[in-house]
Amino acid sequence: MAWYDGDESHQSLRALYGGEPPPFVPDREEPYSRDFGDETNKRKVAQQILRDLDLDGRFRVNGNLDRRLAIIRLDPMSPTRVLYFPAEQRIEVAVQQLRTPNMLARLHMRQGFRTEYVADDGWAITVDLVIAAMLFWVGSGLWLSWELKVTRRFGAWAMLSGVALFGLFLLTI
Amino acid sequence: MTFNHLNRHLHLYLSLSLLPWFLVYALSSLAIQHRSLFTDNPKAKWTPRFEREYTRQIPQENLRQTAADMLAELDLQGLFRARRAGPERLIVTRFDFFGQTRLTYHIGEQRLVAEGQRFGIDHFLIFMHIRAGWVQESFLSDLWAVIVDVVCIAFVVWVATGLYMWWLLPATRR
Repeated sequence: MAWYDGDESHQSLRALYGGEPPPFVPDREEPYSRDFGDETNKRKVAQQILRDLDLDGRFRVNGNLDRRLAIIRLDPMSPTRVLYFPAEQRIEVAVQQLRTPNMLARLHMRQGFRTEYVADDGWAITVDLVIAAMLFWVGSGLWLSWELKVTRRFGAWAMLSGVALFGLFLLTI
Repeated sequence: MTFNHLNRHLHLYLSLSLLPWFLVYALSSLAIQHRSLFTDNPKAKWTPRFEREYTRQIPQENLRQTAADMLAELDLQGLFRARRAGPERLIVTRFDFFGQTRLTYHIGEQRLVAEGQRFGIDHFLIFMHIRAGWVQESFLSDLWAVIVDVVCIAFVVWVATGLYMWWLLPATRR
């Protein structure tokens, strides 16, 4: 919960402390000579490259198998970019430096059930649990507040004020 | 009033007054995470509204003012985004929580195309989730941004006050 809060703040205040992602810093450049045969699926090629580099995990891939593949390993802490040049049998690895606002934004926007990785599904399940907990808190909080006779009147006033303000926003902006 | 009272009241009244936002963030997260529960086609569907000849000088600077003038001329004042999509196109999107109108001005052809996006519960929730910041020239929009920050602070306060109340309950502490 505190995680999501920290990130909501960052989304809203990002401009205050320059939220553009930091650049990728070159880490290494090395030969890479695996033969992919007739493989035309660039996701499969990218996944094999990441496995060979011990970087297996959620990733995105762009580019062309004839010229250059750009693989971004979507590590929540420090994304890694691997450029693969098939003709030259060479790879370049660059790492994005860790910066807290960007890391929070990445975690905030991370959605699950879209990859074959168990860890990603695990994250998605915890997101679902947070959603279920929030809905439960709304229901249980309303029930608990109604049970407190001393605060019921002022509580109803506080809730109606919030609902009225929300309604005003819905109709005007 | 003791600290315990203050803590309990803060926890209670803050949550009750910000209840709609709490609900919005929960439901919109559901819409983002499980889009298929809300729609068969998550892509925004634009339907044509009108197309006509239109003439306006588009300066390189102060794009927002130009876009605001266009919207005022078309009687579409409100919150908007504006961007140049290459040298020949200006795209102005007028939006609220319920839908969007997109104006595409083809500068060279002096032609204006308007398209609309119909209401969809998934878009509605997601628009509320992602609405933030002080970009718009609107007091109420700024106020919404302030409330979003208050909600952020409230999350931290709920965590802290909740932990404190839980610590005071010996029966459930262990």
